[in-house]
Amino acid sequence: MDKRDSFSGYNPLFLIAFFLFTVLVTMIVRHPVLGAASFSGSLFYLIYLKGKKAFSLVFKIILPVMILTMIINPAFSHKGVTALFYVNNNPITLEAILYGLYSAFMLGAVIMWFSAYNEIMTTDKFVYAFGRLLPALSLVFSMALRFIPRFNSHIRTVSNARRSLGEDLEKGSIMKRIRNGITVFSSTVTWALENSVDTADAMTSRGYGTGHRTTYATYRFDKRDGIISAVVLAAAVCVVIFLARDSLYMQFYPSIEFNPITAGSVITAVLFTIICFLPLIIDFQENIKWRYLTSRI
Amino acid sequence: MALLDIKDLTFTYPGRQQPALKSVSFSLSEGDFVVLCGESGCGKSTLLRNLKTVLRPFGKADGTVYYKGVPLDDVSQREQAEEIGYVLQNPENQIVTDKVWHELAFGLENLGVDRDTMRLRVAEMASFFGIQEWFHKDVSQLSGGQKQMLNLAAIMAMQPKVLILDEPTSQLNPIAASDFLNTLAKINRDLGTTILLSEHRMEDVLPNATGVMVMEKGEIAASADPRYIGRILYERKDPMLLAMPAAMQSVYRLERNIPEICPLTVGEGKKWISSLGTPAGSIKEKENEKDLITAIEFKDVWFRYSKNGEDVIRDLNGKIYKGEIFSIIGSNGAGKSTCASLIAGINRPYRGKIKLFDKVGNTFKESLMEGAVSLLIQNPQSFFLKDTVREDLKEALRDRDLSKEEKDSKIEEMARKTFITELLDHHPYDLSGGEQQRAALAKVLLKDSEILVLDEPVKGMDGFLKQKMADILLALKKEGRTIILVSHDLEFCAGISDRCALFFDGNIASVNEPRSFFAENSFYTTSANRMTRHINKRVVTVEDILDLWKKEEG
Repeated sequence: MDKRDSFSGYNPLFLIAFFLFTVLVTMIVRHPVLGAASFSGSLFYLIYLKGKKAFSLVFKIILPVMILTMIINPAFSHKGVTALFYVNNNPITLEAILYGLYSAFMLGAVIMWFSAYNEIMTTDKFVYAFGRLLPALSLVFSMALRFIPRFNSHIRTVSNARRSLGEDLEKGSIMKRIRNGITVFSSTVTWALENSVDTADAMTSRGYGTGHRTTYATYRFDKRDGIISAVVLAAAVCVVIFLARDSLYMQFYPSIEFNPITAGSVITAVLFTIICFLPLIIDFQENIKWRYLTSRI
Repeated sequence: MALLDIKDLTFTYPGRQQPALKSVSFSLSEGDFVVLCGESGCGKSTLLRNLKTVLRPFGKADGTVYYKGVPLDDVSQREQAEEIGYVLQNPENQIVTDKVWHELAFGLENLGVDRDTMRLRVAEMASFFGIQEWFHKDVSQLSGGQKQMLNLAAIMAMQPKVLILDEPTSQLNPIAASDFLNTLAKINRDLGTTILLSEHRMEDVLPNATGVMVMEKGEIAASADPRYIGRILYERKDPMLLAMPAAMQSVYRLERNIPEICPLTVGEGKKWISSLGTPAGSIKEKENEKDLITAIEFKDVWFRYSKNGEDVIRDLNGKIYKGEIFSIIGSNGAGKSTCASLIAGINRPYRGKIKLFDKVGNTFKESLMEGAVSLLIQNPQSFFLKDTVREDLKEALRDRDLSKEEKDSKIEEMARKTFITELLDHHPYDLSGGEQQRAALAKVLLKDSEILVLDEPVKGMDGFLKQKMADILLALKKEGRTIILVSHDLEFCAGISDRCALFFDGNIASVNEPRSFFAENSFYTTSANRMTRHINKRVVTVEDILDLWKKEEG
């Protein structure tokens, strides 16, 4: 992270709920205003989090995916009433183009929310959140996270050992390389099984399985987490209720139609926009607070 | 009342005639710090594992282990988990979870300790062990020494009454090992925890221990206060004396001016040496060899692992001669292992050249270079790919144009050379650490390279195994092979090398034949040297002390 991000300091349970809500609304509700809010909110937050690196992600992955979606949808979907022109006797319709455009932005927003999630949800936060929901699985998860890097590094050691004996994995015919690769892999599996005996000993020796387990937590659900959760939950409930009642919804096929604008739909749009920009709002508010605090020192 | 009381414990592994433990009896009282030593395979681990039911190996056990006066089998698993802490040899394998904080809490979680108590205990231990700085780190980012320290801290968080450790420092470098052992002493002194430790780094533990037990073939051969164990071993003519600290060894091997209280530390040894008066003998100096042929030459070598990384090897220059044993010593991260990988061609320098020379001193052609150098990397387990040692050795000969009989005889011969003949049909993972090291060496030697690079070949070995390794290496030297040792073990390097080099900051800071090399260093040198340097700087090993002050003939 290039900058210190205060949003990620909230309780992981809240963070997971937040991302789940924004991503779900983005994917399920089809409306340009909500889509735009979600897209811009995620884009700016990602830039805030990753700085320059965000641009390379946007230009190398997100933009190509979006362009592909924009092209593929009208090329394969010929629904819609407004045919613009024909390719190989297939109509290219205005609705399909607009739907492609909308889907592209939706997909972009979802990818960006996920990469922001990736950036701030470190594995221990995930294990914590997971542990609150499914305590038994969280230990398994933590052990897997310990095992995988070890396994990989042992594979590297073994192939180095092979290389020092002149059996280079990157040299020789394909068959030889495959054979070499299999030997390395199978010996690493043997190694892992052998050594797991020790790990099992270390676990039972430390009382694993002697009775009820508790979980240690490095995170606490404090007042700040309670307040933000309550606020976001209230906003989210409003959004869901208004979505159900006034159905903020855009129809693409067969022709483009909007539901009429009501007070409810305006409130929904405003609330959802605030939710999408919440990470940034919190960060800016925190930055201002810091500036104020340092100016008093 | 004794905390642990072992009465007539006999233990036999299934399918074996000889018991691994023969009527072992001893007891540990509150606050004891007892060191268990003995040759590899003498039954130390078997004994220690019998002191906790969940770790007891399969086999037939007679006799009883009492914990606080209750037979161990009647002590609940929970109480054992809480009160008998156990640290195993390999630091990696004992770590269960991915985060340091989680590992510290793991035992407490298992016991169902509530969150506030857990927080307090974890915080206490993290502070006691100085773990705060890496509290939130991934376990995989820690060094070996930190990992073992974490294992110890994780056990201590459960507030055990007894701490049992099975060669906990065998995988660590000397500095980390001595850190670890000092922490143990601190635990014993400050918290009063009873400690039973099997160890072969006597130099670091004996001064702090309250008792020593020497095991031999499943029996306790001697048991005494550290100050008196030397006398007992001396009277028994026990070879275990050679595993004791340099000061104690010198006293009883010289058999002169034997003091009432045996010196254990370098400082005490120094005092005793001074009492001996002017030395009458002289040290054997090695003859300078003439007509040295260069085997390897480094010319302005630079290396780093990634484009934007830091230089690991910087401006390395030097020559290694044919047929010599060349030791590279230095602290962690100085680039020693990287240098080894460069010689072996696993990594290539980005600037400068490493020239290899053939038998007569011409540079090797690039195409012939393959197979000129063999490297034994640190982790011998990574060399084993098959189900038996024999199969594994065969694998090394796979690409060679030899008949089956020739291959078999080559393997037999190599097994004899490396003392693993009886082990050929065992599974490689069933061998002990020292045996694995030799089997891996055999595999490397089958490649028949002129130049051998060995990275930490004696890590975790006791004195006897080291001697075995030294014999193998000297025999190889006689064959005219060039051997490069990368090691932390100063005593071993001093005894065997033709030249030693101190690696620092990516290049060789000083290089010389061992006597002059260690005479120049005041800190980075052997204990025998530190004990005697105020009288003669050129002393390197205990043997030199014996030579200098030996009894006048007649």
